[in-house]
Amino acid sequence: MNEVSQQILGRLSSASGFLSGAALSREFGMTRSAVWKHIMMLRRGGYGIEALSGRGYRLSSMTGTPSGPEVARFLNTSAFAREMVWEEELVSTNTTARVLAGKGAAEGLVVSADRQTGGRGRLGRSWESAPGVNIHCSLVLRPRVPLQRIPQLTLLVAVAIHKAIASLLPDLSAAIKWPNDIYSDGRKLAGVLCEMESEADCAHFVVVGIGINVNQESFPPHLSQSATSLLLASGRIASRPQLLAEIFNHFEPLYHEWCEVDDLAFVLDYLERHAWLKDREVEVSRLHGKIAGRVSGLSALGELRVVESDGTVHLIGSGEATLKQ
Amino acid sequence: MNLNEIKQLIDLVNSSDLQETIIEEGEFKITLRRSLPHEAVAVACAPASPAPAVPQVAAPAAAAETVVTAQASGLTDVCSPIVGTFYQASSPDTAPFVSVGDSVKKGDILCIIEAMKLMNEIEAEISGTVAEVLVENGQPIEYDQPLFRIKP
Repeated sequence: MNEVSQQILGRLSSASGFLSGAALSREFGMTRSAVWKHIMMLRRGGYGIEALSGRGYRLSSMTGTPSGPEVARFLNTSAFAREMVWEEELVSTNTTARVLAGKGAAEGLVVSADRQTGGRGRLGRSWESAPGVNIHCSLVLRPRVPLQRIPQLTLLVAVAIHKAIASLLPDLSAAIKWPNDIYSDGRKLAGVLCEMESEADCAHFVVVGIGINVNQESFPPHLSQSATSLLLASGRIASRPQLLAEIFNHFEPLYHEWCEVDDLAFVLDYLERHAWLKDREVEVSRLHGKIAGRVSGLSALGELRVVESDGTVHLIGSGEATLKQ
Repeated sequence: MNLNEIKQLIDLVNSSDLQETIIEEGEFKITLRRSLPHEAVAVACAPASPAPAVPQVAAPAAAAETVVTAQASGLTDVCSPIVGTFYQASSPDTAPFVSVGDSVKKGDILCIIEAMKLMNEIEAEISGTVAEVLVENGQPIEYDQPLFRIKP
């Protein structure tokens, strides 16, 4: 499905009834037979489009893919995800988003793919990605705040994902594992990986990568104890475009508040209330050896507070905290 | 510890033979390290508790001192813009972005500083040769800490 097909889909999706072939051919500057070819392409892509002679075309069913026209139906943002690049397959949405951001893409652009062939986690760890059931997307941001604050974005995104999941599946018990993962029943549901390109004192752009296991029915044996999906955890199929839209509906106001106020207080309560590591014994790898202790909460800057058995307090701002075996 | 006390501390360390001083007071920690004879440079100033006033006051002083150091030796320091962990390669299985002796162009990626799963690629701001790598892979990094020395 090419870009023009998606634009025609978007036009059909926003129309209340039938749109005539003549109107579409005028609007898109193409012949009526060219419009028909795009309609056929959309039908092959799974969209239900009625065609009535004398009346034109009407969209009767969507496919449930997290692409621009489908996500837009659920959006109430001003900029986030208003422009979307949708591909059936990408090596990594972060990589594509970084290329587009480097060419000047505006804040709010989202790259979404049905399948990732080379999804990355932290430090090149691979992220298993099944086709047609999950969410892989990346958002371009251009925050004008001091660089030292920008890592806090990860926490805001985690809050937005958690809120979006709660709005679709209120009975599902999910928690935020500091700083970037969403867990349910001790298994990973979703992850965030942000990448920044910056100069000494300003960020050119930040790409926020989000991966969510939505309707995946099973995982390979080596992952079944550590990964889960919304479907496995709740027993319900979730709408991917709606979930994607809800994430950005929640994230956009959080982001704007954070840009204006140099203070994380407005999300700290939420992060503490839904913290998966709170009061647990964890280990944090350090260059030489490990820090082991109990998580007592978060600092005002969003760092993880780990208290050793002798009372020494560590504030962890980077690296990984894992449950003590 | 307030700004005046930190200034006094720097003077005290400057007038001594100490190469490095680490002072911890409750949840506050400061490290003073001498990079050239008789010139103490505050390279690290980590608030262990919500005390943003102290690092904000101390950081510009550290930056200024670092520039002086670099000019004196004819090398340019590449400093970290954020607090985080230093990674010399994009993944544990790949070769470091740069090593000592490599020539780099302005804009080349030198390393990644990670904080809260945000990967910040640090680029060379000048072209030159990597004269020194000042930190180890996986090392925690403070704000404005020198990471590399580049010979223009």
